[in-house]
Amino acid sequence: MDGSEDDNATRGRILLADLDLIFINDPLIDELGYVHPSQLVSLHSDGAASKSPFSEKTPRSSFIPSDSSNSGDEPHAGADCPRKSEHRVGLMEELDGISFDEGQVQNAVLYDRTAFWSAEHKLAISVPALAPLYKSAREAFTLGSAEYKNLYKAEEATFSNASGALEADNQHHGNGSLMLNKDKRALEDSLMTCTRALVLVNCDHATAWNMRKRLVSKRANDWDFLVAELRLAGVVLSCAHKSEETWAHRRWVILQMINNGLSRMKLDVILENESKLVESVAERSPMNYRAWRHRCWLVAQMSFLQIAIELHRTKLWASFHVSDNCCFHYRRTLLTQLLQPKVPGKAESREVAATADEKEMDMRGLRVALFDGFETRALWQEEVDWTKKLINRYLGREALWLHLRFLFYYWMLHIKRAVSCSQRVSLSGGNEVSEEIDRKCESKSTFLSADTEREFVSVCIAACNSNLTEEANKQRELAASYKLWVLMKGLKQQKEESLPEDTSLSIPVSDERESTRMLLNDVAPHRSHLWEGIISGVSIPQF
Amino acid sequence: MTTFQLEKHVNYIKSLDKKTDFDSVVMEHLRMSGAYWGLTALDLMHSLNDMNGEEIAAWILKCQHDCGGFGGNIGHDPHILYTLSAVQILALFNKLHILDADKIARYISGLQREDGSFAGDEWGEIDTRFTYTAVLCLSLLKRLDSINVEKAADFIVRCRNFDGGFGCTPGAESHAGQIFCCVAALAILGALHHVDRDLLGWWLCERQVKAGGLNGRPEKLPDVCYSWWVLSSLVIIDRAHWINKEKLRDFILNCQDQERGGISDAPDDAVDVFHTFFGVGGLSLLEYPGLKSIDPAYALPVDVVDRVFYGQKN
Repeated sequence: MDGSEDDNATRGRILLADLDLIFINDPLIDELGYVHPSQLVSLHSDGAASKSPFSEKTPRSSFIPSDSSNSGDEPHAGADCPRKSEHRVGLMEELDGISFDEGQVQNAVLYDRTAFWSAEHKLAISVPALAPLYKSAREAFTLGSAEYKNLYKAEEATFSNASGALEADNQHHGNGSLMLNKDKRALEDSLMTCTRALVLVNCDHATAWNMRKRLVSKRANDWDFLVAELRLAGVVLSCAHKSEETWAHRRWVILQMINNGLSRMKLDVILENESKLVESVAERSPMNYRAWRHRCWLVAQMSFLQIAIELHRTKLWASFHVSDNCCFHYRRTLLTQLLQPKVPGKAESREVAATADEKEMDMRGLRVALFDGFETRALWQEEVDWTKKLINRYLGREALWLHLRFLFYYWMLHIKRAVSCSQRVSLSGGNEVSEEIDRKCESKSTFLSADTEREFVSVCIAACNSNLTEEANKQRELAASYKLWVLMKGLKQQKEESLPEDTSLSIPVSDERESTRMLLNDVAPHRSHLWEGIISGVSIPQF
Repeated sequence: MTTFQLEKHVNYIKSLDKKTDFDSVVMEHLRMSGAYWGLTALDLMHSLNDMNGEEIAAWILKCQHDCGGFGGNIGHDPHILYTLSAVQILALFNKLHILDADKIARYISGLQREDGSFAGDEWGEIDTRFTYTAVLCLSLLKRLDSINVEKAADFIVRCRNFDGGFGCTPGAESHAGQIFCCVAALAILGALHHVDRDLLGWWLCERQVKAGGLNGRPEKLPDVCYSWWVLSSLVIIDRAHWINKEKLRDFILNCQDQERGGISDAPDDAVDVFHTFFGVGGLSLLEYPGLKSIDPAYALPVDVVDRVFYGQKN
C-alpha cells in the first residue's frame, strides 16, 4: 500500500466520522444533495442558505477522482468508527494539507468543510468525497457485519454465511475473544453509522438496508427509533427519488409500527405524512412508478375518511399534472376503494391495525359522513365531468383519455347495475348539487353510455378538426381509440349480461364497427396493423 | 440505414469487467445481474466462448448462501433476483449440474406466501417480478413442483388491470416491465388463458411512439429497454405483428454508440450493459441477421433453453 492509498483510507475514515458528527449535531436532516466542490465553497461562504441548495443537482459521476485504489488489502480499516471529535482531530492530523481552523467553526460541528455542508436540516456532500467515504463505509460494514454475525450466530439461525463473510471471519480469528467482549450496542451503533453512509451514497445497497432492518427490529418498540429510520429513508429519497430499496424500507418500517400496535390516530398521521412525501417527490420526479406504488400501498391501510380526503386532495394536483398517469391511477385506486362495500364480491378485509371497535367506527364513519351522503352516481359523474373538462382543455393527453376509458369501463361493468336512482339517498342539506342530481336522475338520461361517449368523441374531434398541431393529431387519435374502447366494452357488457339487445346502442354494431375502423385509419394510419387486428377480432353478437 | 456494430458491442461488454471507477463500485450490489445481461448479450452475438466459464462459475458459487439463495455479489445478502441471474448464467455455460437444485428450490418455495405471491427475500417485499423470477428459476431447475403453481398464477391474475396490463401488486398501475414478468410467468405456467390478448396487445402497441421506439407506460419517453419488455410480451401473446417492427429496429440501432460500442436508453445518451442487453435482445426478437434467437419468456438464447429441456447440443 503506497502513501496516497494510505492517505485516502485515512481521509475516508475521517469523512465517515464527520458524517456521523453531522447527524449527531442535527438528527433532523431531511434533504441530501451531491454538489460540485465549487458549490460547496459558495454554500459555506453564503452561510446558511435561505432556500434549498440542491436546485441544480450535480450528477455523481461528473466529478470522480482518478485514483480509485483498491482497498481490499487494508487491514482493519474503519473497524472502529470514531464517535468523538477528538478522535477525528487525531485522524485529521494524520493527513497533510488539510488545515483546521477552530475559530471558523466555533458554534458549529467540527467537520471537513471541503467535503460537507450542513445547515437548516440540509446536507450537501461534495462529489469527490463520495468515493473515499463509500470505500471507508464499506470496509467498516464488512468488518462490522462479520463481528455481528459471530455475536448473533446462535440467535439468528437464519442469518446465512456467504463464503465472503467466512473468509473475513477467518482473517480476523485472532480478534474473536475481543469481539465477544465488545459492547453489543457499540457494535450496533457503528453498524448504523456505516450503513447510513452506504445508503446515502448508494441508495440501492440492499444489504446495508437489510442490516438496518435487523438492528431496527431489535429496538422496534422504540418509537423514536422507527421514526428516525423513516427520516433517513426520506433523506435518501430526497436525492434518489426512484430508489426501490428505499421505498421498500419505508414500507417495512411502517409495518413494524403497525405490528407494534400503534393507535389509529398515529397511523393516520403516518399515512398522511407518507402521502405528502410522495406528493413532494412526484413534484420533482414525474410519473415515478415506485413513489406512486408506495402511495397506492398506503390506501389499503387508510380509513375511508382518509381515502375521501385523498381523493379530494389529489384532484387539484392531477389537474396541474395532466400527463402524470400515476396520479390518475392513484385516483382510480381511491375511487374503487371508496366504492368497495357497494360492489358485490369486492369486500376484502382491510389491513388496518385497529381494534374491532375502531374498525366498526371506521365503517360507520364512512356510511354516515361520506358514502351514502355522496352517492355513487354523483361521485362518478363528478369524476367523468371533470375528466372531460380536462380533455377539452389539454389536447392529446393520453393519461386523461385512459382515465376516461377506466371510468366508462368500471361504470358499465361494475357499478351500473349496483346503483340505481331508486337506491339513492339524497344528500343531506338539499343544496344545489343534490337538486342537480335529482334533475338528472329524474330525466332518466344516462350520464355515461355508449351514446353519450360517441357524442363526446364526435364533439372532441370536431373541436380540433382544423388544428394541425401534434397535440391535435394525438387528440384525434385518442378520441378515435376511445370510440373503439366504448364499442368493445359495450359488446363485452352485452355478452356478460347475456342481453338480447343493448338499449344503449342506438345504431347497429356492424355500422358502428365500420365507422370506427374508418375513423381510426383516418386519424392514426401509423397504427393500421393494430386497428385491423383489434377490429377483426370484434365479433358481432348474433340474435 | 445504421448498421449493427456487433464487434464493438462485444468489446464494450468485455471491457466492463475490468472497470474500477466509482460508478462501477456503487453498482457492486447487482453484479450478478450485470453479468447475466452482459453474458447473455455476448451469447446472442456468438461470443460467449471468449469468456472464462470456469472462473465465472466459481465466482457465482461464492455468492451462494447457506439458505440456497444467491447474493448480487460476494458478501451481499441473498435475493431471488440474483438467484435467477446465477441460474441463468450457469445455464448459458451449460453448468447447471454444479448446482444443488433442491436447495435452491427450498429457498424459493420458502418465499411463496399464502396468497401465491413471492417475496424477494426474507424481508417480505412482494412484487410480480419475484413471481416471474421464482417460476423461471424453478422451471430451469425442473423443480416447479416445489411451489403452488395454481396460487402463483392466481396472484398474477389479481394484478391484472382494466387496461389488460399488469402491475407489481394487486391494484398497482400497469407497467411494461411488470407485464413482461406476468405474461412470461403465465406462459411458463401454461396459464396464458388468463390474458385478454387483444386488450393487452392494444395497450402494448400504444407504447410505440411515432418515432418508432417503445415506452413502458403512457406519456413516457421511448427507451430501448422496453424494446425487450414490450416486444417479448407481444411475441408471447402473438401480437407482435401489430406494431411497426422496422421503425422499432431503427430506433434501437440509433441508440448505439457507433464508436465505442454499447447501446443506450435513447439516442445520444450514455451506454450501459443493461440497455445493451435489452437492445440486442430486442433486435434478436426482430430476427436481426447475425444474432442468435432469444426465447421471449426465458430471456436466454433459444439454443440454451433447448439444451436445458431437451439436452440438445450446440
